[in-house]
Amino acid sequence: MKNVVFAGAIAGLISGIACSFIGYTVTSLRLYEFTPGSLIEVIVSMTTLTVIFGIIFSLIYARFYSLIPDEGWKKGLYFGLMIWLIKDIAAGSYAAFVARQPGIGIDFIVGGLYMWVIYGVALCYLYKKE
Amino acid sequence: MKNAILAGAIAGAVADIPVIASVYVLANMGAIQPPVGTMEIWTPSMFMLLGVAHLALDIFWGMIAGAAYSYLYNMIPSKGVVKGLIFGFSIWVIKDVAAGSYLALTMMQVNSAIILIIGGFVMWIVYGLLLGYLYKKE
Repeated sequence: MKNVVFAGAIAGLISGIACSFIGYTVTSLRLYEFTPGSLIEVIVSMTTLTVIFGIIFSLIYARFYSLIPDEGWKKGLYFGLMIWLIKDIAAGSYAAFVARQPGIGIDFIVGGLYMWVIYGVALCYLYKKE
Repeated sequence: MKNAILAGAIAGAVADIPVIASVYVLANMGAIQPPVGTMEIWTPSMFMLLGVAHLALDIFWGMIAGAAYSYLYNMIPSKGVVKGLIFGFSIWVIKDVAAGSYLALTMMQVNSAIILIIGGFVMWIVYGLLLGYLYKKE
């Protein structure tokens, strides 16, 4: 696929749906108290946001493609981890220590890890810059 | 200044001041509400506590962002403070707008999301301008 925007949207869709089900399963098994609302609400909101930001992040991926180390699925993995670091670990630390909501901080860090790893790996398979 | 990490730490520390000031002003105007489940009264002592925690995080993430700025320097358009502004704005979009969106729409924490997005905007714009001014890669 040569259209990075389309690749980003598809990768975001895959990641959003996968993470919705993972999060809902974890909550249903009472392993963690995650998000209020029905499964449909979680899927719709999570997937919509991940598609939107998947498109935005895919443009960044294409722009900085040569600077991201390694090739293949590892390139996607590293990009996903970079997004996770900037978005979820940073925001999670502010949520935990400034807003005094450590639960939200944990939500960001744990949920964000598999979200952006799945996204990054999917994106690297869908889009290869020539 | 040739040390991007030091420049990032200084920019982060200085950027903390307008963030706390703006959140304090907006909170006293009633424009923003405290996050649900936290102290319901915005007292000066609470802001002092908030300020210390925020300062520590701003310095820490300022250093990391500074290192990233140095690594990506040649790929970021423009020069000087505008280059730093573009970088800071990008960090704001990736970190605060994205995280705030998830916070509001999936975790139903609208107050926290508003504070994150507004506070983050002030923080990363000031940070970016300072970083662009302080650090120039040769």
